[in-house]
Parts: sequence; C-alpha cells; structure tokens
Amino acid sequence: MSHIRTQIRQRFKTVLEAGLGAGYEVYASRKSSWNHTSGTALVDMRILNDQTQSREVMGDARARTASLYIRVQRSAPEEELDDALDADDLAVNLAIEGEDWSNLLEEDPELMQVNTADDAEGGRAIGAIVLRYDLEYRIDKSDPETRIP
Amino acid sequence: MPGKFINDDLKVVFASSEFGEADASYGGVTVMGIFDDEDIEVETGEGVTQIIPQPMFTGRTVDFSGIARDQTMTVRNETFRIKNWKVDGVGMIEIFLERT
Repeated sequence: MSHIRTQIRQRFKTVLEAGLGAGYEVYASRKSSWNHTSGTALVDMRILNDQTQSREVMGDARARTASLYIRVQRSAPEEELDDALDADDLAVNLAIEGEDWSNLLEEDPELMQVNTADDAEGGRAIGAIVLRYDLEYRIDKSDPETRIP
Repeated sequence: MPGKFINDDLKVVFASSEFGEADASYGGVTVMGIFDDEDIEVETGEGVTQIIPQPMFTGRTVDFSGIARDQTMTVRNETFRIKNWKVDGVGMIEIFLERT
C-alpha cells in the first residue's frame, strides 16, 4: 500500500488516461519542463492544502480535505489556445464526473477553481490550464495508507 | 532608407550560396534571407521553463515593404504566420513566425 494521497493521484491518473485518450500524456505527479514540438498535451497533478477537517474526540478516524491541482499544458496557434484549453477543461471534467469515486473518497471531487497561464514568445503559444478539485477522504490517523469507509 | 551598397551587400550575405535560404517566399514572391528555428525557453507563469522552437526569418526590409500581422510566408515548404517583426533601420528585418 501507499499513502492515501498517492493512491488518489494514481486513481486520477488512471481515470484521466482512460478519459482523455490519445493526445495527452498523464502523470500522477508534477512534471516539469518539456519540449513543445508535438501536439501532445501534458497533464500533471499535485495535492496541496491537505488538512484535517474535523477531529473526532473518540477514536482515530479523521476526515481530511485536500486540493488536487490538475494542470494541462499544451502548445497551439495563438488564436486557438484558449479554445484548446477550454476543451482540455471539458475533457478532464467529463472524465472525472464519469467515475464512481465512492470506494476512495467521501464525495465526488468538486471543481472549485480554474486558472490559466500562457506565453506566446515561441513559434507556438504555450498555455496551461489548472483545475483545482477539492477532495475529501477519511483515514485512521495512525494508518494513512488505508481509507476508512 | 539604406544605401544601395547595403542592399547589394545583403544580397551577397543572403544568397543561398552563402547563408541564405534557397526556398523562401512572401506574397508569392521568392525572398532572400536567413531562416532560424532555434529552441528558446519561455515561462508560462506556472513555475517551469518550457522549451519551444522560435522560427524566425532575417531578410531585407525592401522585400517586406507591405508586411502586416497575420500574413503568411513559406520557408522550406512550411507555411508560417507572421507574428511580429523588428526593422533595424538600415536595411534588415527580423520576422518572428508562428507555426500554423
């Protein structure tokens, strides 16, 4: 087993790979610099702000909330970049919404925020869209590898 | 306006037998110049430096007197969109291209 956060990222990777299909490279971790010479989009992710939501006086069960940041990076002709990033957002959304998360999370992932970034200095504009999903999961504080149903 | 001697010199430098591109055209007319497609580093603001080629054509200003954004030019059988350009004031122009 591995930490529940690792399991969550791996699950998202599996779901996104199946849902996004060809044209995307999906990583269950941060993925840094790459060469934009093809039309492939790069999808990476990280979990931030993982915190205990409520402490139960009796017992060791803990409900935790965390933010999963899914980032899609791609290059495209300038005037097509925003449309392409919106299409990425849509594809990620559909993949996540189409999954049953009940055996891992307390509730479905909730899309909370979307941001974009870009640079058009090169021969093709490079852009990124970052989707922040809030997650809730439940573990025993002494066993962060095992989800408590 | 550059002197004739500068245009003559540039013709020599940009000749395909020297440093120039043999296969470049703008507005359907063959033009002389040097084509670069070097990798550059750019920041998307997302914390990592990305690498992407920046196609660029250096030619004679006189060959691009009507240049405008979103026009196209062809180099090595590839069509590029003209993004922007820099004129040096003495006969040369650097054109930054976008892959279509």
